[in-house]
Amino acid sequence: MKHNLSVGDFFEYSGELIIMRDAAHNKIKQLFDDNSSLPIDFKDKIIFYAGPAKKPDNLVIGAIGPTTSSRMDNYLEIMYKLGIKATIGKGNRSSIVDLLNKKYNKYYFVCPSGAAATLAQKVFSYEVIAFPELGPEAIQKIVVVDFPLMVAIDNLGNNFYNL
Amino acid sequence: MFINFEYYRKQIKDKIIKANLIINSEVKVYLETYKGPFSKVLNDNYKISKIKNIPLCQDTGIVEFFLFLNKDDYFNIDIQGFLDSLVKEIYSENNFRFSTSRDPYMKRKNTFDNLPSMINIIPTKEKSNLSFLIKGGGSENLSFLKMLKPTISKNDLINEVLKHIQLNGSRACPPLVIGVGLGGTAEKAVLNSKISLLKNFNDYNKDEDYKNLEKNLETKINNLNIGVQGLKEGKTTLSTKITVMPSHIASLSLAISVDCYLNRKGVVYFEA
Repeated sequence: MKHNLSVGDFFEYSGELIIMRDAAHNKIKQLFDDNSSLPIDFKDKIIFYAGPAKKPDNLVIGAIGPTTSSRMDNYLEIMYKLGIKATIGKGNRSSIVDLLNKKYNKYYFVCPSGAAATLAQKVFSYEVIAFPELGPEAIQKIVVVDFPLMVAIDNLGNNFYNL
Repeated sequence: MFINFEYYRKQIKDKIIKANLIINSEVKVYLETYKGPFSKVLNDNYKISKIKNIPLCQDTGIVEFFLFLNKDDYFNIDIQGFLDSLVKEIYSENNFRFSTSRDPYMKRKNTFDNLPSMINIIPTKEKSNLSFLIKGGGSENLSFLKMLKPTISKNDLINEVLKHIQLNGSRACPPLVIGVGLGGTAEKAVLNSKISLLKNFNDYNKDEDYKNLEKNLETKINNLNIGVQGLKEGKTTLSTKITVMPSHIASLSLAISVDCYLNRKGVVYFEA
């Protein structure tokens, strides 16, 4: 991830992403609130708000794309405290995210939605790493190459949708 | 006429699979003209989904059926059981996603069969048909209902729709297909807003006044400039359609349903 990104920049990311959405966030929050141990170390991870479709036998992963990020807004500060460095999803978020990004020096990126067949071609490894009982909502790890992104809220709290 | 649903089983199944894998032809026409951000990713998407047999979107939705039933037509099966068995088969046999939760709140747990399907039976004076929407959660979350004053000005009515789309539109995969239900009781307005999502993009209201309102809304929504993917370039709505119903003298219900740009839908007609 480049370090001079600012709002509205388009770039392609190659590396690891942690897939997590509603149900997994809820479980992590409960564990965090109870001071219980977490299934993974979130330090420096990038969270991709997503839940892939079923994996075809002959492909690395099934259709995959972003879900609506704003549903995860209430969990964001906890995730920042756990050390994640950015989130990826779709759509605008509540204004609290602008403030949190500035306070914690973090980023929010959007990637194309309704383009799940294209994005699946950019995934080169895939594994379920926690909460398999949640099905598509499990915590999953993927490695992507040339994943198309745009900076929607930068680390100064500048929000693309409010420009 | 007697509708033998078993006879239509394969046709219904094929159309639901196709709606998930093959791009809506009206949407494709627009995408081919779009040159803004992520245009290549979006135009590659429907080519890849077709070749690789993976869905256009990972959210293969909840299946909503609209059975339009003429008084002369009838059937004698458990329609929920029949359509559910079909949906279960489709979502188990294909690389789709199981996207339903058995209990909505207390014991949220994936059903791993994508059931139940949502079934609406609607009396019609036209020919009977079975229509369906593949409805993703992100767009469904933009559903809206408000009981307005029946004397509200046209400007204020339009602004209710604009305000809702302006505030929320970027989250539901624009360019949006927008369905409006106007009039009727509250639940009928919501149902009519969904029925509006089934219409083809050029299928404007037969009533001149409502046709003008549809066109006016389309222009004003596009002027919001939310744009394709919410990135401020290209259209904000591909189609905005209105379905109306008579209303209580005290009421004017306004319902808005939103569909993502893919507008995955289909219809099966019954032959005599």
